[in-house]
Amino acid sequence: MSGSIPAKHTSPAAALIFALLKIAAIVLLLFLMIVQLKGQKISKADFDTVEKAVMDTVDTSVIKEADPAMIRRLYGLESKDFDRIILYYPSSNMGAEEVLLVKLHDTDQAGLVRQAVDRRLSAQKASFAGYGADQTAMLEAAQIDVEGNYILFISSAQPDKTVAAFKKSL
Amino acid sequence: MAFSNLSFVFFFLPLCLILYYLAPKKIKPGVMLLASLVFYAWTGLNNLLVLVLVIVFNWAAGLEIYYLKGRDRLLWEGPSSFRLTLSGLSLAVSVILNVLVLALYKYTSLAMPLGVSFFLFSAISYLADIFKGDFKPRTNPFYCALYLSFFPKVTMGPIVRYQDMADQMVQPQLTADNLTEGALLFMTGLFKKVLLADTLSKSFASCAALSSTTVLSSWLGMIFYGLQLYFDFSGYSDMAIGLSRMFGFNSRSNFNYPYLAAGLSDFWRRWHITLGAWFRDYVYIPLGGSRVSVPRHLFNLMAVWILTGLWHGSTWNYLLWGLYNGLIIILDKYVVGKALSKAPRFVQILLTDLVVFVGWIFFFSPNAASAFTYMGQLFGAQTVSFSNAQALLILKENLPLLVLSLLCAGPAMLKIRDLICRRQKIGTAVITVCYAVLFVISIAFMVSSTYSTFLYFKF
Repeated sequence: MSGSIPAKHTSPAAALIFALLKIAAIVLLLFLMIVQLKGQKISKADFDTVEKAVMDTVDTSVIKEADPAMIRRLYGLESKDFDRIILYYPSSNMGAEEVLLVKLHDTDQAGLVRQAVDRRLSAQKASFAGYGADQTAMLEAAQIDVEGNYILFISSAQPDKTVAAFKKSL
Repeated sequence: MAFSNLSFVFFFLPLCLILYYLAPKKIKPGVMLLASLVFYAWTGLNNLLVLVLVIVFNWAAGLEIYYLKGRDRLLWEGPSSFRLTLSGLSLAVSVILNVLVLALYKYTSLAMPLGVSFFLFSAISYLADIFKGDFKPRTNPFYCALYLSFFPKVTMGPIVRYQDMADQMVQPQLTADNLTEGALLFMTGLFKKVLLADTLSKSFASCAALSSTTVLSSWLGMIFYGLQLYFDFSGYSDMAIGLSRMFGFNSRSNFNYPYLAAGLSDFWRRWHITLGAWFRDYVYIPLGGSRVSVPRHLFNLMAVWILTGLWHGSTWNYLLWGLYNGLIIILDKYVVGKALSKAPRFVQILLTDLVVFVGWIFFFSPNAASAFTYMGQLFGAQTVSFSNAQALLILKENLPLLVLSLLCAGPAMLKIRDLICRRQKIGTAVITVCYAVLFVISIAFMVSSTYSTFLYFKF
């Protein structure tokens, strides 16, 4: 290939500059990751308090609480793997409202929960595709919020309100 | 912004094509780099910053390795003629840092930048190839930046080598043939994604949503997912390679009808070819490949497959999936391979597909325990019955889709296209109309359905 390195760029001074640039880039990258990780603060908030704050913003007449078997069936998550987990799912087949609140043992579990929520959301979107315009719009607006050791997934008429209450309660 | 997004198809792509083709030759690579950075910025400015830092790091590391190669000195001489040189140490440190960044994103709760596994693997090959002397790095960071951020491949590959792109970055092959063939390949990929993969995804979801699992629904779910994964990823790869061709870059194919493979080794030479080649060139061969003692060969195979599993994800599922593939390849090579090769070809293909589809269960199950439960259900464990009305209804409703998918998983459609093309007078017209119809149907599907992401985005 054309464009080989001119002699002046293979001098010890040039090599030192490349080495310094390399170090600067990796330090900045690791710093960026640390800032991102630090942003994920571990909350000591009581689960019941967080749950109450979240559920106060949701219309509970259209949802019902799931048992561990239902959580496993809808999300593929085992309740015993987490510090606490609670799921409210639609009372009727035509509902798309859903609340999943998880307190993680370890923030490493966040990826697993995210994947489970993505799968559930895709399945719900697929099942309403073509005929459930309102439900589809609701699912499109659904939000997942990861705050350190707490995760909230909300599909409702006003997800912003629930997410705000969730953040405030932590 | 995915390739199967309306904004991409009707706004971003046409705008990039117009600007790229109108731009003077000298600034074409600049237009492409700008387009790639804008495309990636769509995934988040934080992600763009990560990509830029990865580019700067690897560009500088490449030049440092190249410089040290010219003035190398021996640092340590180990057993079995192992020699650690200064440039070798520089390569090792840079590769380890790239792997560390990848591991931190994949295995912690950090939000993973889209395509990080793909562009970091490209970066490692860039450094290793400089060390091997396969090419001379450029001092201008622009080319390394374009190589790592090139928008048709940045999010999901194919993992192209720098040498394969280097000349094309300076002199893209902007021909009418490349533009047409690229557009047709893009449309084929779009069809595979939005018509086949997304429809199969709904069929898979309908199996998963059944209130009672049966043997039939378990088999159907597994087959739907296996086909969805193929059309999703090969559809994406077709779109990526088609887009590259439209911009004058020729890439190697990433899939070669994998479900027609006879044997698992053959399957992995046909599925995600560029990732397989990466592991072969940068892990398997440096470890000694197959030209070593049998125990060492077994170790090399398992090391490659465990790493392939871990590349896909941090959960036990992926590690088990890697072990599963490694063990079956070892069985194939050392125990049953010779006997199986005497069986009729269709039997070999069926057995290979069975092994591969069972392996995909690790991909769609949320954890290892669920995967083993699902495998049991295929053979009647924890199921209500062999079949029921709901499972039969799913089979009946999806039979045309299954037949179409199986046809499209092989070369049948391409052969029909070639047959039509041979009729010179009307062939081209018929093919043009067929592709136009396919494109319109794909767009109709995109408009009517909700956005569906690509399965391989999560890797």
